[in-house]
Amino acid sequence: MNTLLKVEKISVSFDGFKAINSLSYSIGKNELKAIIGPNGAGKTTFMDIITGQTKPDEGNVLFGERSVWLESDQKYQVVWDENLLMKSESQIALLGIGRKFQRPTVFELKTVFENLFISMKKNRNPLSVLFQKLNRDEKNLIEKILGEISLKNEQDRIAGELSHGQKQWLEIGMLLTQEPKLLLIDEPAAGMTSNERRQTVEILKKLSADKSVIVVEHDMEFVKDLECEVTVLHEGSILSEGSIEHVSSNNEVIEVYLGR
Amino acid sequence: MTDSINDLLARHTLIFTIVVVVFSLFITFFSEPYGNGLISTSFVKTLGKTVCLCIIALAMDVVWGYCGILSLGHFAFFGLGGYMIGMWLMYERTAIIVQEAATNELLPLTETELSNAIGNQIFGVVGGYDIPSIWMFADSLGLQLILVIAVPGILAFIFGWLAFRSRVTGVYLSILTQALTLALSLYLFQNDSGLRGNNGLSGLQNIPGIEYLGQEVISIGFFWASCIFLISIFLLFHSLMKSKFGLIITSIRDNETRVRFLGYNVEIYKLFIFVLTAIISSIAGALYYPQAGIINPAELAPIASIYLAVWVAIGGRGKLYGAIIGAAFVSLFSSWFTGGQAPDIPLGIFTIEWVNWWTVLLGFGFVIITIFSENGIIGFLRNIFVKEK
Repeated sequence: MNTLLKVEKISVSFDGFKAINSLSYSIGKNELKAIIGPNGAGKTTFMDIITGQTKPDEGNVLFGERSVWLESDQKYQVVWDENLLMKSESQIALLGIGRKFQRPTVFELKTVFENLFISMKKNRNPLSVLFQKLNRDEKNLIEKILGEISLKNEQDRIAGELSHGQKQWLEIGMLLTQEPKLLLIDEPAAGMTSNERRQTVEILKKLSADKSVIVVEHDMEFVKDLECEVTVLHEGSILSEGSIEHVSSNNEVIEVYLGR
Repeated sequence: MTDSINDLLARHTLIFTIVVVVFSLFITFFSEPYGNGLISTSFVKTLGKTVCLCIIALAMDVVWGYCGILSLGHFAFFGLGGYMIGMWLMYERTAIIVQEAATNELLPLTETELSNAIGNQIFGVVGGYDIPSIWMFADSLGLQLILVIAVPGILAFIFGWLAFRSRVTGVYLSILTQALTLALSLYLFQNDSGLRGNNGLSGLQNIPGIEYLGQEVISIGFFWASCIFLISIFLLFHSLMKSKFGLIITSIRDNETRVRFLGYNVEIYKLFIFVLTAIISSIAGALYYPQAGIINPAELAPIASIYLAVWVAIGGRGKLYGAIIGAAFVSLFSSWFTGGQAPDIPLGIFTIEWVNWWTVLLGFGFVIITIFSENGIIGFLRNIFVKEK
């Protein structure tokens, strides 16, 4: 009943290749979910569709469920705030969907602090931005987030100098300053040391206290540590859904992951 | 930490302002009207024109070095500014001459006779008598000054809106901007464009109403106006690029997609920078051509805009003073080499005549500088003087 994002039967193909095939998916408020699948399963395309970078050939992407009391029918009706297919990337981002890319994409030439400063949730209109100055509350918020992503001592460093894992966290920090409702996180643990992985699991779990989080991974071990519902994608559609134990005992999943 | 950087930057702008003011005073005290005449009026004009080129180089640096849009068409806006102010200069001066000539006549000229006489004077060269309708504001300095801002502003807005909205970037955008300046130049070459075809507008150094001051004084006036405008634009760009707005502009250069996913409407930001720099280029042009005295469509040729990019690359893009150094350095050398002052080098069977070989030297210089220093002269100097931490 409190669904934040609902994807209805989307399909998309590139040059005849069906990247996503009649896929339906949904996530509730403050829920943490994981999507796994082998390479080419359509994970990244799925994220591209939600964030508006790719438009699907069919289907709907709805955001923000609300129940409205209909006086005429004397019953509740479900309405959706937004249809994401009508929106551009920047409009979708402003609705509260933040995306972390597979490779860490931070602004390498800017300091850690500046990276967080420009991500901050504020009016994005150029005329308004011209006169925006950092105030005390915002400074405190950035400092709080720097603590959460363990980069407090690195705030004046140029982001390009950070380690791979630190860049991943900085990018998560940039999403946090945007104060999003839904976070899409693409392979957060790729290239991390086991210590950094453990910290990343902690950060993600903490985030889902007041946000919805979708984590896309192909590393089963990492997903196991997240202790959340898992969806297995294969060739653009859902193969299996449920707890990690349920999913990993599914024969088809075993075949897809191990059988080749 | 951040404060000390701000102090340093504030010091930079202060140093820049002082250097330009001292330079202007120096020139003034050696000029013909206000000093011992060591510096000729023609050289004052060359310097004034160079300052205007520095201004458009600043605009180019912001649009390319900071925002990452390699526009190879900004000289079109420069030329348009020159045309807009040139229309007033030429019309007004012709009107004054025609009226003076008519004082000997028995009957005062009628409106039509006056208009025909002016039209004949200006457009006789392209075989016309009627004053084209695009000259309808040419009798008003105020309106033409508004056009200096409005015409390139609107052109840049329409062009930028179409190009950025379609997500044209990189080399494709550069080619489109080249097409823009080429199309404009070809249009102006036509006799029926209403701007005297390949003759262009001339006699622009004679400023109607203050001609009695003489070129010595007028040249110093324009030189000062150019310097003051250069300082203001430097301060404007400096504070703009230091602000959050500037952070977003450079972020767009570094990773446009990421900025879009942060929720910024990248196209609007690009459009803002494109239009702003176009307008500033146009004002620089409006200051340049009264010092040059003549403008014709060849000024808007595609190569001019490419030179502009070369100046900025040689000076060092992404740094405001880099653009200024590049433009000043290259354009002064250019006028020295092509002005016949540089001594030719005889090589026995073959003589290097700089008038022809200057572009070769410039090409070599460009290649060498970009190979050895990614950030141009500025980057080279920084490597020598500023120790890496």
